[in-house]
Amino acid sequence: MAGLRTDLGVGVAIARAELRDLLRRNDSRRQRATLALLALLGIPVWLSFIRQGYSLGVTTRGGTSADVVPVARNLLVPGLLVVILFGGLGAAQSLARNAVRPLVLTTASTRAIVVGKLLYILSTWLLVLTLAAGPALAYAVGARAPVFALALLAGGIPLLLLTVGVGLSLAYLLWVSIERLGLPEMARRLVTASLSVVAFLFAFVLGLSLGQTTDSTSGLALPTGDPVVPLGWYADLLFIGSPMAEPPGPRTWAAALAIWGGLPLTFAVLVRLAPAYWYATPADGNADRRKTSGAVPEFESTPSERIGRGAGLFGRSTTLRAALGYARHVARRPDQYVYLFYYLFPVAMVLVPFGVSNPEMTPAALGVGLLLLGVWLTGGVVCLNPLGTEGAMLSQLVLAETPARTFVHARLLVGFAIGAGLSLTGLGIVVVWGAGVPPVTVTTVWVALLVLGGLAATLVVSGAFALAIGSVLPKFETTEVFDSVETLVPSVFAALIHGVVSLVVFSGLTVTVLALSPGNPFGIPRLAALLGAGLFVLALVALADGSRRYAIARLRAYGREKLGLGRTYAVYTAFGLSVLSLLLGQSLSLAAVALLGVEVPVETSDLAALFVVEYLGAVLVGVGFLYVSRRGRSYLDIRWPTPREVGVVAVGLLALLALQAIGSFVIGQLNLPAAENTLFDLEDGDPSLLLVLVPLILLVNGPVEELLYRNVVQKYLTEQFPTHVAVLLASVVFTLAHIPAYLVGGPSLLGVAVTLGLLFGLSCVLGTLFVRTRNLVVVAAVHGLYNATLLVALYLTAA
Amino acid sequence: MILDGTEKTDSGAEQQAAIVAKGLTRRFGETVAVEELNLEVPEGTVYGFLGPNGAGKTTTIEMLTTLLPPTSGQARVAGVPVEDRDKLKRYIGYLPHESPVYESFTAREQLAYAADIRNLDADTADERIEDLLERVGLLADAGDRIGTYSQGMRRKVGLVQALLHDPEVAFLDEPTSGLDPRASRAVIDLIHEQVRTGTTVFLSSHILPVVEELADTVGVLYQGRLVAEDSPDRLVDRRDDSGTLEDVFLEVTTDRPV
Repeated sequence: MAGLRTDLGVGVAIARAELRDLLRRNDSRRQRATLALLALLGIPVWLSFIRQGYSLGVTTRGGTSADVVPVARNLLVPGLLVVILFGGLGAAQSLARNAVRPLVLTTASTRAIVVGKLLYILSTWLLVLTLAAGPALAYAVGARAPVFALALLAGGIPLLLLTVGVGLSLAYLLWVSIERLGLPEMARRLVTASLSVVAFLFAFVLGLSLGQTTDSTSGLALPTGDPVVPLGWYADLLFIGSPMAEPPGPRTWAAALAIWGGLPLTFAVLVRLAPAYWYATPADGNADRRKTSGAVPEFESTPSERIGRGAGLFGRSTTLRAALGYARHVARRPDQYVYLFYYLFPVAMVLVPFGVSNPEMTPAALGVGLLLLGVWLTGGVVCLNPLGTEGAMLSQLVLAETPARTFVHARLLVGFAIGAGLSLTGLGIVVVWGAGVPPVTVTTVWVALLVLGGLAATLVVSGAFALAIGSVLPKFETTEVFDSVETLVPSVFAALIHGVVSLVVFSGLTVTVLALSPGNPFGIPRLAALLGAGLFVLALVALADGSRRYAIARLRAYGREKLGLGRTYAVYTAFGLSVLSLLLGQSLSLAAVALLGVEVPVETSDLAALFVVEYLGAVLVGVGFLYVSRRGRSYLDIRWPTPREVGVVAVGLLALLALQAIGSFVIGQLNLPAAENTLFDLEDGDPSLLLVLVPLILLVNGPVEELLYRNVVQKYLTEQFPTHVAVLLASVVFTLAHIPAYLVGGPSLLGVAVTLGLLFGLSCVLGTLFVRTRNLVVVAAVHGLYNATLLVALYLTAA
Repeated sequence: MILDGTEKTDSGAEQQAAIVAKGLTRRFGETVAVEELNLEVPEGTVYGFLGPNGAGKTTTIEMLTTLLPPTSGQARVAGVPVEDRDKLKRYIGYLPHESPVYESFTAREQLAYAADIRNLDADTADERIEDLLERVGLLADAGDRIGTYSQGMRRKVGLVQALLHDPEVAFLDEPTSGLDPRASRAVIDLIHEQVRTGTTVFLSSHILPVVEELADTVGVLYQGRLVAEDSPDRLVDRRDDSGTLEDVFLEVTTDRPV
């Protein structure tokens, strides 16, 4: 018993140390800011799940007719298999030979090491569990069933432990068998690095079965009979205390016994198997072929790899030669990229069931799958970890004569080539299956150009963005996944973010291409479609070019303090901050709606909350930018206004009002249309609502907008541009950011343009004011008072 | 001459010194890794940097090769301030602690790539690569992937890579680590040869016999400060009982006052 206690203690120490290492290694300003941004953008989804859980709990409080438990019984074992695959096999890497090498040479027993690693793996699953626990707890609260929450926890943890244990054991079996097989080096590498292939195959099979159980007319048929595998009866235990529970019968207890009993058994198997792998010597076929130097050459060796640039394209372009180098890396160490099979998982899960249940559409599904894969792999292969994969060569690259941009462009080139190959094949399949090879007419040529152009744009954005996100969130350490296989896997977050963004870009461009082609299915007027497409493409250009510049700057600045991003990048950042604040504001508003359960028409109290929350996004973006770029709190120019500055406020206010008056007069004289700010539409028959807005405008709207657009964006631009240019640019950003506020209600484009023109002028005044006074409080006051005055005037005319 | 903070009396003309450092300091948060380092390495000589682990040798080399910004102080290499990487980089060759090689390349491909990104003339570079490979004894294995090499072989490739473009100043961080005596000999000879052509070599090492043989001047770094600096012979002569460089090293790298 003492032995067990010691082992437990040692195991806990191991787990603690590994967790600390994991957290500290991934802690940097950029990582923190990115994670915070992701969390804030994803919060509405999570909150809505919680809300749904709660309302579900309330509605089922009295009992339910749904067959939740029988379905759960059937889905339990397949679900466990999925967890085994990802949780167990995936986590097996941390129990691989090289990952335990330092521990194996200590007095820690096998049992202690296994315990420690298991605890570590479980702790890293904690975050995922917490996310899922939220809705479950909400349900328990709604259904007034606290026992349910406890049952879920008590029943769920053994399941998790079991699946991780089984997964790890399977991995060990796999590895030991592979070693005994004595395969040649490359084959062994490919097979042992193939966990992701296994995952993909599993997804494929799952998709197949899902497709077969789906009738394309009646949708998914969930099995409600007795579970095929008796272990499924365990699911009853998870629902104890909830209104859906059925009293656990003998089969449930038998399953529980099997699972709880299986825990120590799995643990014992693991402890038995692990050393067989750790201490084994590979069979002869995999003999370590480490050389020693100093052998005398037997013949005159002719150098087969001369630099030999020679004539031709390769001779003249360093970029192409560097690209060849990167292509060589990919071709010679394909096992490094086997993890890319994970990109196939979503493709398989969606397209395979679709293809199976609609067999006549299978070629189309395949084609679309290849298309998507091409888009993802453009970034995923060589662009996602540009700094990490260089390793120690980074120092040599920055000290070379070849400029940093060559290496970045070379990666982009290789990625594009790979992606284009896949995507064009997929596209070809879709086209040929869909309509056969089309006749060459003006229309088809135009459509073909649109489609190819859209595809090329998607690939470029995917590659460039991968370079940027990979430079922000690199993973520098070499991880030896299996013996003598070294992979430099990029950060999981980088891959996820890249995947999502490329998908969004792909969808957006698909919509754009469809809208612009003849017979467009959306019925958007030509001009609007062109304008929208133009703006979208412009945004994509900014994204791609900005990403490219960032990646180049990060490479160049290796070992230096300043990133040295130029003016163009500064402009991109200014617009990017604005877009981000809009996105974040929307996301937070949605979260608030989910949380408060807001209904339309909006009540006054809710309105205030929503208003504040939306502007919270802008504050977070502004402050977050100062944090990540290390400009700090001192960048904010917040001072109590001097008496003179109070006078300036008054003057500024008068100037704005005068400008507004002149503008309105001119607009009226020229008979031009004007658009209205949707904020002023909210009266909805109750003018007193406007008065509620006044303090909000003064205290929230004014200060926040000035904080972001003047104190952060404009001031940042003055670092790169002359002051008056910075004021103009910041005003452009400010004006464009207000487009959404004026678009609702379908005003004419000219009206919007006119109003925005006036807004631009007002913004320039504010910008100049900020430059002169260098005090945020002054411009915030002017802005707030101006808007408030307009509101009061509106109230007085309405009342 | 053992430094204890007093000023050097003999300072050579700055124009001739390949490496000059004045008050070079590097802090990481609270820790001071290198403190007020003053160096002067004349052209065409070998400076051996000795010190226990954590003394600050790698940090110093990284500062001198523009890969780490100093917290304070200045340094010039080949007359160019270390802040100006774009101007300085063509004059230096750098072999870091970890061999900067691609596992999936062959030695020839690696060196060809290095020559390419340094804009060397193709034919001259080819000849030089073959010549250097032969000198270090890698010619027979040059067509095999670096991933199959031993630690020592990788080191050799890294060294050849650092000297390929005939730099004015070569910074070598533990050039003979992982090498057996025969291989060490080949490396030492190569460095000698390189110095003969006029390159200044700044190397750090733990292996005292190597430093003893190669270095014109030895500097001992301890806890971020230079605690001894002189030619190997004179350093050893300072001790009354005829000892070795190792004895001197051990003596100056303790916490007892000298």
